[in-house]
Amino acid sequence: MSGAARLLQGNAACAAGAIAAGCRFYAGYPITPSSEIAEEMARRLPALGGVFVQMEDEMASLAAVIGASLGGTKAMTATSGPGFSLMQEHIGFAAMAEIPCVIVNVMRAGPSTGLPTSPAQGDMMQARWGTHGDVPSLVLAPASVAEVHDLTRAAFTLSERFRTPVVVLYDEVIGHMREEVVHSAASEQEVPGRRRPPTTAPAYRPYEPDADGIPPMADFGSGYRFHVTGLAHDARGYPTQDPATIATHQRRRVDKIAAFADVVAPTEAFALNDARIAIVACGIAARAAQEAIGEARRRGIRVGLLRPRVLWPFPDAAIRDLAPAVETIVVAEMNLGQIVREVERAARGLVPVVSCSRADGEPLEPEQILASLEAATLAGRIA
Amino acid sequence: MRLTIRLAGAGGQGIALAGLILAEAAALAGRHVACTQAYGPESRGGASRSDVIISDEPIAYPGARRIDMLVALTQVACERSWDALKPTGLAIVDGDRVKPPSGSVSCFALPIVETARVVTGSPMPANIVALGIVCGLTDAAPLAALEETVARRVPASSLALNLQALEAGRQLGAARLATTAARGSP
Amino acid sequence: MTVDVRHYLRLEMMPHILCPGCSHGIVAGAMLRAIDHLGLPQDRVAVVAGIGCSSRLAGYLDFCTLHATHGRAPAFATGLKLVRPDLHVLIITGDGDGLAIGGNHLIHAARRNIDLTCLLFNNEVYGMTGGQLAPTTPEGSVATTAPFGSIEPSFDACRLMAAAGATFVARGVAYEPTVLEELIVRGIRHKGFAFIEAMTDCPEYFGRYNKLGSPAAMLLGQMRADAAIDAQLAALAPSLLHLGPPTRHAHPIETGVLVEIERPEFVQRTRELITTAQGRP
Repeated sequence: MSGAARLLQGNAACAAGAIAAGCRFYAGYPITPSSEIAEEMARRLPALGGVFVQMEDEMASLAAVIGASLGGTKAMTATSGPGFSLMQEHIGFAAMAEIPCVIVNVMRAGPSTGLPTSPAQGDMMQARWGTHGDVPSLVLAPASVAEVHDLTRAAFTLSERFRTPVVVLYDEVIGHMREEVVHSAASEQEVPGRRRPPTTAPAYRPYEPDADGIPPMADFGSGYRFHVTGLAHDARGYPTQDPATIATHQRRRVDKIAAFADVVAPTEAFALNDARIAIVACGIAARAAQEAIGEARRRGIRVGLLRPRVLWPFPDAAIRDLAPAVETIVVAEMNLGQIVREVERAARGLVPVVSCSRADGEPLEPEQILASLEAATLAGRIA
Repeated sequence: MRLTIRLAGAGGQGIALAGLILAEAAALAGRHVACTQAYGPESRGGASRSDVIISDEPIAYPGARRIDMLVALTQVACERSWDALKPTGLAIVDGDRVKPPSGSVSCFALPIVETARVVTGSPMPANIVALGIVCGLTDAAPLAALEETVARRVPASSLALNLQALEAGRQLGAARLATTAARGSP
Repeated sequence: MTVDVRHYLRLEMMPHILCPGCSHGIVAGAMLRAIDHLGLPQDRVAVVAGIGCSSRLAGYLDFCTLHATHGRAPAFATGLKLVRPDLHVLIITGDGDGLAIGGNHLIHAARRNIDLTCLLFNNEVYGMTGGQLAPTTPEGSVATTAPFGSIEPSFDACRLMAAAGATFVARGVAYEPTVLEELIVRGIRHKGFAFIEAMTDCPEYFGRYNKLGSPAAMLLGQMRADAAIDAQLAALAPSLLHLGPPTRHAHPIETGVLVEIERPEFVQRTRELITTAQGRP
């Protein structure tokens, strides 16, 4: 291992990844267990010429982020469950108005005030469906401190390229733990900003897409004057009630993110080649699964892990490919069963899907997953 | 090698900082590390706990369950984590403050806080003495790496005293190890 | 002198959605003449609005316009202004948008004294949604959610903003667009958080529910409510006092510049912090 490793806390890695990407505006509101991200940004941004502001609540925080993004700056906020709930309206606004921004949710146990310092994975569905209406949803799920850094940075790449909000979702354990991180020059490179219209164009239509379905985005005050609204709008940005126009842009907004896998590998496979049982898990549950797999294999159970790194859009194709190749899928998650529904849906009945879940404020431990694997083995008499 | 080390004590004893330094030193020395703070019953009532896993192999699950080495500065901290010790584990307690539960687990009772007081004039660097002891007992975090990390993490004005506390702890640990080896017990 | 402000309008967006007789347009005209008077480069003006009839005006104005979410325009504007201090950022809000759901954001923008100009169109009702009670609806007035008359005291928006720290606070009435224009000019010029409340009318809902007569009669009612105007009329033309209904307000509205002070401005302080952090003198 190279000596360029340093110990980093998950939340600090998040701030570092954002800064590496070129984020120069942060607006946020304190909430455990995400506050370290805000504190790190408050410390580091000014010397980089960036702006940090603590806003009066989470709604104002994401609003300020969107305003800064319209001004041409890469911008981010971070929160946890209760704040994530408050931010849903503006996540929808950013998606509708196609404004790049990154929202980090360090999940704590809910519902409601829940357990501020305890981990959970209860916001997995909310990250996709929390805002009203049909929106494109890009949610990344890192499972290590190094991956928090890399996926936060990638969130900016995705957000700027696809002109859409991107959520980085991890749990309190990942956020507060410290692991060694090896930095490479590549992982510290600033990421490209949004495609801007050529300055020579006579007119600018803010929602006129290029061939890839993504409209170039001018900065406010850069010479073009245009309208941005959360109302259903046409290519000029003006409100419309024409069904054909509305349908076109609705579809385009959702479809435009299709090429996200160019930027982030959607899943990671671990020991799946000869597996009879597959675990599907994210974040700290995936870490527990990896340890459980080591012990299970020592006991003769052939098990592997399919770990979504891009949680939404859900890796349907990977599940569909996996389903016929294994005899059971065990979904390990720290909630009462959320991702298991997606796996069931994607598997289309081709394979039994079992839930291994925990939602009591304690981390899901390898022993519990191991017990699920043994039960699945007995049930299916799988060698 | 793979070691799970738990530092435990009262809030305000610098347990979290010590865990951080230990983990950082191990990372500096090229090992895989995972450091987590307390959650769960061990963290309530003013107690503080820091777990550090140090390994030559990548660490899958970063949470400590069965621990190889427990350093406990207070009675409460010792009792709460005693059952997590592996049968082959080692407990290091502050002999002046902690009466460990009976059992077959090896236990070194060392004057951790007293050593801090004697060497630096204050009981505060007891956490650094504890790190030194760990250093003297295992090669998980080499002295040079620990010294560099301590220098990064303590105020410059108190660096010299902290390094003395570290060395005093290391000598304590090494001496106790030598004694134990001489006696032939594990 | 008549100023042609049509080049500030997105004429392709006409007709607009405002009701006949709505006096929001008068206030918008005053704002555009103020911008013209100041010679602000059209490309460098950003208008951030919330949700409501007055906020819809943003869509008709040919600047960089942001029609944001209900109540949150000050927060969007804060982010924009912090990264683009070179832009003139104006906020358009209504009494419901600004003082109910948006109250907290206005309070904090005022507290920070950030260099924004906020124009609040106060027609004392939620017009867009059909005439519900607003935090500014005068006690006793009828609204769809106060069918027996409001039993809630109403906000004095200017006092609220002054107490929160706004360094320029002014109130005008649609009845006096030239005065409004001057207040807006001074507000935009002011370095710090400038808050201008413009009293306007909703004849379609509030007026109808409270039997306030025609749009013209409602404007005249503003005239009667404005303490300064009323006093002038009483002195110079007492016969005109017969016109218009008695004011619906419990006491006369104070108009003019109510607060004009200098305090450190937030964007400047932020930039100073950055400069210091970057190690430059």
